[in-house]
This record gives sequence, C-alpha cells and structure tokens, in this order.
Amino acid sequence: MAYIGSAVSGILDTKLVAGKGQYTADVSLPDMGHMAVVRSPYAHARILSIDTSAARQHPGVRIVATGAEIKQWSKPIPHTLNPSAFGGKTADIYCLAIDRVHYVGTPVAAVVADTRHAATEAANLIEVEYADLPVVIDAERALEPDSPLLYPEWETNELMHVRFQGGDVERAFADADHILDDTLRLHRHTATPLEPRAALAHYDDRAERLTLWVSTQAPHPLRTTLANTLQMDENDIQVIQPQVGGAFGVKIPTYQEDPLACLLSKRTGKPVKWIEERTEHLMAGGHAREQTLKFSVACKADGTVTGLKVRIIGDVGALAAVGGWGMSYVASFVVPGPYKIPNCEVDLSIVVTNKGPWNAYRGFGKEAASFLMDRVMDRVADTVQMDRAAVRLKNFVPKDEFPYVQISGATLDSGDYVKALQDVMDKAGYHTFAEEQQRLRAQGRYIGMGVGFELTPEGGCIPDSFIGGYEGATVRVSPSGQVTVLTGVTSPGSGNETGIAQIVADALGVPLSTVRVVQGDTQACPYGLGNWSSRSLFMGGSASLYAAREVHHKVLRVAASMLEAVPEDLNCEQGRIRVKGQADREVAFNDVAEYVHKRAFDHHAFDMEPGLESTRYFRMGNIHHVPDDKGRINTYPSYPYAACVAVVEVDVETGVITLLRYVTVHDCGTVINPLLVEGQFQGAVAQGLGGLIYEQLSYDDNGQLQTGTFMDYTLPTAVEVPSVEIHHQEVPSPYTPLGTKGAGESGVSSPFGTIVSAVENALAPFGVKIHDTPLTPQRVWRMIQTAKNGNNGGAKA
Amino acid sequence: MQTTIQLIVNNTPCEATVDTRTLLVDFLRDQLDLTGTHLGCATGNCGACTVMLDGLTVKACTILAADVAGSTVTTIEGWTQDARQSGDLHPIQAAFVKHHALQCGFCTPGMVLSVQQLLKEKPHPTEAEIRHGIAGNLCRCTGYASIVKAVQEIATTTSLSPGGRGLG
Amino acid sequence: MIRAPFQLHRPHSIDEAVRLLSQCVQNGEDVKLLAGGQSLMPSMNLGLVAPAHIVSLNHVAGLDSIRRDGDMLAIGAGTTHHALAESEVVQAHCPILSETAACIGDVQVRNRGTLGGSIGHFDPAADYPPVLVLLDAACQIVSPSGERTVAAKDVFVDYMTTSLSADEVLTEIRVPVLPSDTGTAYVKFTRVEGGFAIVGAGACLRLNPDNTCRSIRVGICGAAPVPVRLTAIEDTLTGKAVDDAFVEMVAAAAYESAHDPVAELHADADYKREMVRVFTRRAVKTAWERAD
Repeated sequence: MAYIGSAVSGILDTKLVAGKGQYTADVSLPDMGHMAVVRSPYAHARILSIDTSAARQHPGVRIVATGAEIKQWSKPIPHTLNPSAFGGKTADIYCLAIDRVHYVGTPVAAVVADTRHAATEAANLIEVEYADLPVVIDAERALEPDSPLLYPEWETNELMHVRFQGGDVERAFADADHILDDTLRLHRHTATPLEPRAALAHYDDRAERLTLWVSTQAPHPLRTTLANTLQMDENDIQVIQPQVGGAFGVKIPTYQEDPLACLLSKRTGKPVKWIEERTEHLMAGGHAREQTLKFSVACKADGTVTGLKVRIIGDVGALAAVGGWGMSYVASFVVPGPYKIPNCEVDLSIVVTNKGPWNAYRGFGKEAASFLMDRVMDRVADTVQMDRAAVRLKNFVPKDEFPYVQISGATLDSGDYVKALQDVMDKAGYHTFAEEQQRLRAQGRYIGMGVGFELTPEGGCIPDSFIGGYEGATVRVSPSGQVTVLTGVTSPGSGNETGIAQIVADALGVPLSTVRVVQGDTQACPYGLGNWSSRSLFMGGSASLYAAREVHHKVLRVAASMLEAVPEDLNCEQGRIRVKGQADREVAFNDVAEYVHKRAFDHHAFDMEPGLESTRYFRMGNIHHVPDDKGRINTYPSYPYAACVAVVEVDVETGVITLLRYVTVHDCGTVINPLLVEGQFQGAVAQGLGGLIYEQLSYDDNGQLQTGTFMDYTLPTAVEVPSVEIHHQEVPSPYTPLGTKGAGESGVSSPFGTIVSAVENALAPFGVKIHDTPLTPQRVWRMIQTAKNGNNGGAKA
Repeated sequence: MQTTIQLIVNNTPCEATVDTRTLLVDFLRDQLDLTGTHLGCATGNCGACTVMLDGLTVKACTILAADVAGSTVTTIEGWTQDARQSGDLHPIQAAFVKHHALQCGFCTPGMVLSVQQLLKEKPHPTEAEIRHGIAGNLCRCTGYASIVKAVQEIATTTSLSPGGRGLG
Repeated sequence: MIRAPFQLHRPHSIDEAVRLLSQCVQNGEDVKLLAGGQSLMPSMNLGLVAPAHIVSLNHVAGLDSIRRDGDMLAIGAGTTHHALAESEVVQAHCPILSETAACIGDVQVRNRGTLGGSIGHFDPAADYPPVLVLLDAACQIVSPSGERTVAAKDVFVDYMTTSLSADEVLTEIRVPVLPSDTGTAYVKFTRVEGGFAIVGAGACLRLNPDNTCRSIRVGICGAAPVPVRLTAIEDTLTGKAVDDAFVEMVAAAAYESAHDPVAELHADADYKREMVRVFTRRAVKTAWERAD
C-alpha cells in the first residue's frame, strides 16, 4: 500500500496552477456561432406572441428559435428524476418554454449569431408579448385552495406527497414526559460554482454526428437524454467533459440549453457555443434548500426521544427536468438521521412556486434533515435540562446495531457515532469551554459553542433512473508499461482522479506517475453515471480496483513464468516484480507488459488471453429496490457522518457572527488520500457557512429575484471562512472492497445545526431561540432585541 | 465600433482591432487565446479574471480592452513562463500543488497572481493579511484553508531574490 | 458582457476630455466618463447603463499626483485607492483618507479604482464621500467655461447625483493637512469583506491638554442618500470632556441624523439607523484612542 492513505497532491494540480486547464469555454472551433437565450422577465405569464422578425434580419444572425420551432424539432427533455415515478405530477419540459412561463429566467427564445455581441443584440430585438398571471412565491400559500396554479391541469401546486411511518407514534406521544413543537425554515440558496455552465455543440453534417463539449458531471446519461430529446441515435452522439470549474451537483442533469445548443448546431450545420452569464445562473441555473420543517417530538425526562412527527414543505420553485425536487424527498428519507427513534412519521409536501427550479446542490436535502435533527436534539436537551451533546449520545444508533434500518428504509451501514461525538468534544475542549465563555462574558463578549452531527447518505440509487448504484472502469496497460484508467465517473474538481490513480497504482504495484486517468468522454470511457453523491471514489474507485486486480493477476502470471516462480510468491512495487525474499530474482513491470503485447504466442504468455486490459463493473451490495415487509426500499448504500463542534462570537451590537473554530471528527470509511478528503470537507463547511449566513436567493412578491449578481448574492471570502480542524475516524464500509464510504459532500450539512446551536449558546443570556435561516446580522440583531423585550420564543426577523 | 490598440501582452508587443465593448478578459481569451484567465461573474466580484496591468493585479472583466492601449498586461501564462526560467514551478505554484490549494482550478490562476502581488508587498504576511490579500478572489471549492497554508509556507520558507526565482 | 455599442474616446488632456463631453452633451447623446471603471463596467456588463459615448480619463497624464500645497494636500482625481492608501504623505497628514482608501473593495479594485471615479459615481455606499465632507474637502472641477472649486458637501446633492454636470471633469481633490495630534478613524460595516458599506463612519478628534474636546468632525454614509455630517453637534461638543458619555452623545446625534437611511435587502431602515449609532460610536472611540 504505497499510495492508499497518503497525502498525494492532485495529479492535475501542476497543470491547473499554470492556467493550463481547458474548460468548456476555452474550447473553440472554426466558424462557430454564439448562442444567446431570451428569458422571461415575468414570474408567471402566458406567452401571447413572439416577434422574431427584427432579430432574424440582424446582421450576423444564423438562426432564431422559439418554443414553437423547438416543439417541431425535438421531444421533451427526459426528467433526471421523473416525479410521476414517485406518484407525483409531471409536465413536459422542452428546451424552450411552450406557451407559458413559470419563473423569471424561463428560456423563451434563442439566437445564434456569428459573434456573442451580434447574438445578444439580436436577442434584445425579440419582442415577446406576455399576459401576466397571478404569482405565488410562498409554498404554504401555494397549498391553499384559492392559490394561483402553476400547472392548472394538476388542480393543485403539490407536486408530490410522501409519507414515511414506523412504530407506534401515537403511543409514544401518549406516554411522553414532554412534547415539544417547533417550526424551522431554511432559506433558498445555491451552489453557484465559479465556472458558469457552458456548452459547445458541433453537428458534423457530413458524418451526421454530434459532438458536445459541456461542463457536466454526467456525460453518459447526458448523451442518452440528448438522443431522446434530439431523436438521434445514441451512437451518433459524443459527449466530452473538458475540465470542469466546480459543479457541486448543479451540473449533474441535462439542462435545456444543452440540447438547445445541439439543435441549433444541427439546424445551422455549424458549431454553436453557449456560455452562461452569472446573472442567468443565479436566475435559472438551479436553486436549493428552501424548506419548512415542522416537528413535534416526544421524550422522556431522561432525554430519551421516544417519538417524532415531522411535516416538511419543500418549496422547489417551478418544475424543470433537472430533478432538483428530489432533494426534498431525500430530506424526508433521511429523518431521523443517526438517531434511534423507532416511533416516527414524516409527512412531506413538495410544492411548486413561481421561483427558479430547484437543482441538485451538495447536501441534496440531507442538510435539511441534519438541521432538523440537530434542532430536535437541542430542544429536547433544553427542555429536560441536559447537556446538548449528552442528549445526542443517549439517542444515537448504537455501534453494535448496524446495519440499522430507519423508517424510510434507509439502511445505515456502519459507524460509531458515540465515539465520534465524544472525540470531537475532547478535541474541541467542550468540557472546559464554559469557563472561557464566562470569562469573556464578563468583558462583554459573547462566545458560544455548539454541537452538531450530520449523517450524509451517499451513492444514491433511485429505481428507474440514471441515479444508480454501480460504476464501470477500464484499466489498460500499454506495451511500455503505461497505465490508462478509463472511468465512468468524472471529476469536476473533486479529486477522485487522483484517488483512483492511487488505488490503481497500488493494485498494480507501479509508480503513480505512470498512471493516467481518463474521464468524461463517452467515446472512450465505459458507460458510467458520473459524479455526484460522493460516489466517484467508492464506486468508480472500486470498479477500477477490480479491473486493476484482474490485470495485475495476468501480469503476475507471466512474471511468474519468467522468474520460474508461482504468482503467489511475487510482489510488485514501483514497477519491479520480485520473488519475495529474493532480491536478485526480479523483472520489470514494463518488460512484462511489452512481452504480453509482442510475444503473445511465446511460452510465458501463450496459454493466456492476450492483452492487458480489463473492464469491470462494481455494484453496491446493500441497495434494495424490492420492498421489504414494511414496504421500505434502501436507496443509499453508504452513510458517512461527521460530528462537529463550532465556536462562534456574536457581536451583540450588530448581530454579526464570527465563526472562530470548527472542529470535526469525520468518518468516510477508509481514507484514500487525507489531503483530498480534508480539502473537500473544508470546502463543504465553507459552503454550509456561506449558506447559513451570507448567501440568499431572495424574491420579491412579484417573483423578481433580488439577488441576481455576486454583488448581492454574497459568497464568503477568505476573511469569513476559518480553517476547519479535521480529524478522521475510519470505520470501514462493509460493502466496498477498500472500506471507502464516500467523501466530498460531507461537511456542508453540519454547519446549519452546529453553528445555530453555537449562536444560541452565545446568546443564552438573552434567551434567543433560532428557528429560521439565514443568520444575517440584521436578523440576529433583531432576535436579540426581541428576546430582550421578553419574547424569546418566536423571534422572527 | 472597432478600434485598434497596441499593447504589450506577456512581454510581446501586439496590435489588435477590437470592438469597443470588448472586455480585457474577453480580448485575452478570445483574440489572444490566453484562456488561463477565466470569467466568473462580470461584476468584478469573483476575481477569476485577475491579470496584472502595468504590474498590478486587476480584474479584467472591469476593464475595456480598448482602454488599456499602451499598457503592459501579464496573464498567468506569461507569468508562469517568466517564473519558470530555471525549469520548474514557481515557489507559489509549487506550494499550491504541495498543499492542494486548488480543486477545480478555475479560480487558481487569478488566486496565484493575487498571492504574488501580496507577497511582493508583504513578504511575510500574517494569516489575517493573507486572508485580506486574497479576499478579491473567491474560491468555491477549497474553503481557502489550503491556500492560506500554502501562502504561509512560502512566506516562511522562501526569501526574495533579485532573479527569476524571486516572488516578483 | 456589454451589449450596447458605444464610441470610446481616449483624450490625452483634460481640455480635450471636456471638449468631447460638451460635444456629446450638445448633440444630446448620453456620455459617461470612465476612470477606473470599477462601478461603471459592472453596470454596463449588467446592461444597467448603456451610454452612447465613453470618455476615458486613463490616457490623461498627471491626474494621479499627490502633493502637499501649504496646509492642504492636493490629490489628483485619477489617484487609485491603492496609491492613496500607500501614500506616505497622505498617511502622515491625512491618515483618515488612507485608512478609507485601504478598506475599499479588494486589492484588485483598489489597484484600478480612483478617488475621482468614486466621487463622480457617488454610490450612497461609497466610503470617500462622508470622509471628504467631514474634512471640508474641495473639489477642482473643469468645465467648458473654465475651472471652479466646489466644497465636497456641495458635490453630493442627492441619491446617486452630484452637482457635476455631464460636461465637467473632476481633476483634483484638496484636503486639509491635519494637525499631527488629530485622532482619526474610518470604520465600515459590510456583509462580506470587500462588499459595499451598509454603514460607514469617519471621525476626526483633537483633544485639549485637559482631555476636553478641541474639535470633532464626523461624517457618515448609509444614514441618508447623501453623506451626513454632524455639524450641529460638532460645535456644541467643543470644550466638553471626552469620555464614554461624550462618545455616546456623538453616537446618539448620529442616530438622530439618520432619519432617511436607504433601506436595502439585508438592512432595513430601523437596523441601519441603529448601525449608524454603533459605527459612529466605534469611529469616535477609535479616533479618541488615536488622539494625542
């Protein structure tokens, strides 16, 4: 094990620090046109007419398209997750709006011209006549019988209703010592990776073949959906993922602009390039998080939680094909997280409103479940007057009860939650913090410590979708001994290519520098589902391991013949194959590789299948899509987790929160590369912190987005984000060959509950209770004022 | 409207005709194929388009190409080449690689240039000075910790030298 | 990306700039002056501003000089925030101005953005205006009919509106050399580092040997559409003992003055008014600590 477990730098890093990464926007083709998209300025309206005559005559314009043409030229985009498969409503989504717009930013027309300037000029000349429709931007209002309807044929705005139930909830409440209720609200925000979305489509008329370079996380599924939408043979489409400048979920699905660029390339016979503007991204690139979480919890005087009722209302914006609504489903699926609460029910309404559609964002609803459960535990602790950590320790699923099946069917694989929390408390100085707190309080400073725990189910596998629990990889050794790994997973900056190279280098016993990982090309790579849900290393890495082992076996067989030994006695390290214990009996890996390729009929290789290449697929063994006796299925195979402690200081004059420390004990199973895992976790915490305090997609009553640029959608800078103290607890997954569980997503959820808990702790002298996010200074300041005035229960700002 | 400009980009004099609307970032990327400079927001917030103009870092999305006629522009490509006179990575880039102070790499060229500006003015910055020095460059991936660590290491291990291996 | 075409003019002298501006004005064409462009370019990229002509001042030599002229500092309008922040002359003689310059935006913005550009654009969240008003700064303005000097308080007339007409160019800003015993401070409140000021407060305080107030001046942005100067209370405080109660009186006066704060998404009028109090208090306290 030379590489697994070591802090190897990213194998792409030397290229990227020199500015040599090639992103989609950096790819250019001769005579390419540029696409501009006309978007709805209204949140809800009927399209009465579109006049494109002036645009068509504008110099340099190649083609103009509206919904009417698109409907003739293409099919609806297949939903990444179709709500109808879950008993929900659905609607057809074409590349451009047909007749009706449901949010500000809905694409209604497109222009391709010789230059970007000409395209945008022409786009400005397109006149769309709209008839205003009443707007609903609040999900609870949208559920009322007299609410305006986004999709009148549904006769409701409820996209889906889901219910999970287990145990005897009513009994638990009847027998409870305490019953507490609360309502929490998470606000709308988004991933907004630094690289905007981008696509370059090239339909080659002579070859009758389409190539799409695109900033995506999932090239193969994209190719399949393109074939459906464009009514082309999948064989005639190649999707290439260049370097991706961050994704965090939003680049998983097929967007409307992807097939749109392809269609317009096909119609014009020339390449079409589209680069999203940041304002477009914030309007229409996909939103997340906005949910109302109501709970009622029953507990005993000793802090044991005996029953839980949860009502979730997910405000998923308008329906798109990108499947973001699934995050609300997952929020309900994860309840009650890491806790053993057998009497539990969750009632979920997923509701459409006239706001931007939800799209996947790191956390994928798990952050809502984490926030909910952290708040539940804090409330119980406060009520029974126990320490907040102690209540969690009391209610965790014990380490000897895995696999543990929750009410939704979520089957927790492994872990030691108690130890993780105890360890992080020790490392953060939990037990001595109160002294420091009192000392500073005497100086008029308000610091607080909070605990939180996030359970982050990974590797999601949804029936009848491309969100699946398997992956493929090819390992190929060239005659010179160079190793190529081709994977179905991709890396939008998450580093799995480095982890996979480490796994393969170890399995083959070759230097890391000889391993090249190729990803994101449907023509070259085995079919795979792409990058999301922290799956790349534990699924793609496992497939790569299997393939590498198969190749390694062949190499050793030939080497054994050459060295007159048996394979079991051989050992390959850094490209030298030796007979164990006999330093002088060795052969180079490269020489074996050359032998296999050039002397397939010679005596060391003649009884073996030629070639040094293997393609293997890996599937998770603990996914269950056949319902059990209680009707449950398990859609997540892996359950990493993190126990966290935050220390904050609150400036009570301004309401400004400063995160002073964030300490975690994180279990993602076997750590392949601590440098990469820690980088992911740190980045995830920064996004969680950003979401909790700084970032907000805010709408006015007319459904106009008020935070459509980085001037008002404020991302945290290096000044706001402290360095996280990360410790690893490695409880290997029983279901992957190396014990990996998945890293990358973890860290984004815990800041909500952990920091909120810390802020409440800091403001305990005022009795502030927090129910809603974001924790903007104004809102925190107002909570303090309200609490000072004697109302500490319902501080709303 | 078109206009012709003369300027020096990465030590090379160049003359080009540009639309007056063309931003410096688009000019570098589209007309000179210097794609190491990225465009992330077009409002001067994210810093992905950071280049050096007459020796100081600026955001190339807030500058008209036609307005920098007569100036000297250095992009990550030119700076890397200058720094690589002895063949390997510049100490800043080497530290970024060692600490994996990047993930997707989109902010990285701008971040590296901001770090060199910081170290030129403050060779031994405190952590707070480092954080303020890179506050004009947003990174959505790393949470900044590894970047801060990389800069701290350079600041404590590398000394300024007059030649090409310095931090200039 | 800038959508609407425009003509770019790159004059080499102020006279030429003024001539170009007045031509555009006479022809009834929308014209904008471009300095560092740190506000104008984002606005144009977003399509919020679409002038037919742009007159760039970036090719006019000598607009970035900083010199001492008797008991005044004369600062060229084209001086960047970075140059102002780093200027030893300014640090020595008008430290509040260097402190203000150093907290604007981020490094790249400070490297390109200019003093004159900020004054001309006059965002209500801009940091210089309250400081210039408290300093009784004077602005040199060149117009087609000649040159005039306008007091800073008379430049900032209304929300995003200055008294400069479209054919005038601001060339120089004159601020007083502050006595070396002056304690000065500018503090600001932003959502994130480099963001716009929700509230900014500047204070200059001189003490008498008996620790009474010899003079105090306070300027605030965020309290109203234009910078607020606490003129009324400044005089009455002269001779008063400087102590916590003194600081609180100034803060209370600031709060009272903030009768018309520009509400924004994350700071409504009530909150902003309270923050005016808090940040004025902090500015005065810091100025006090720094006063000899």
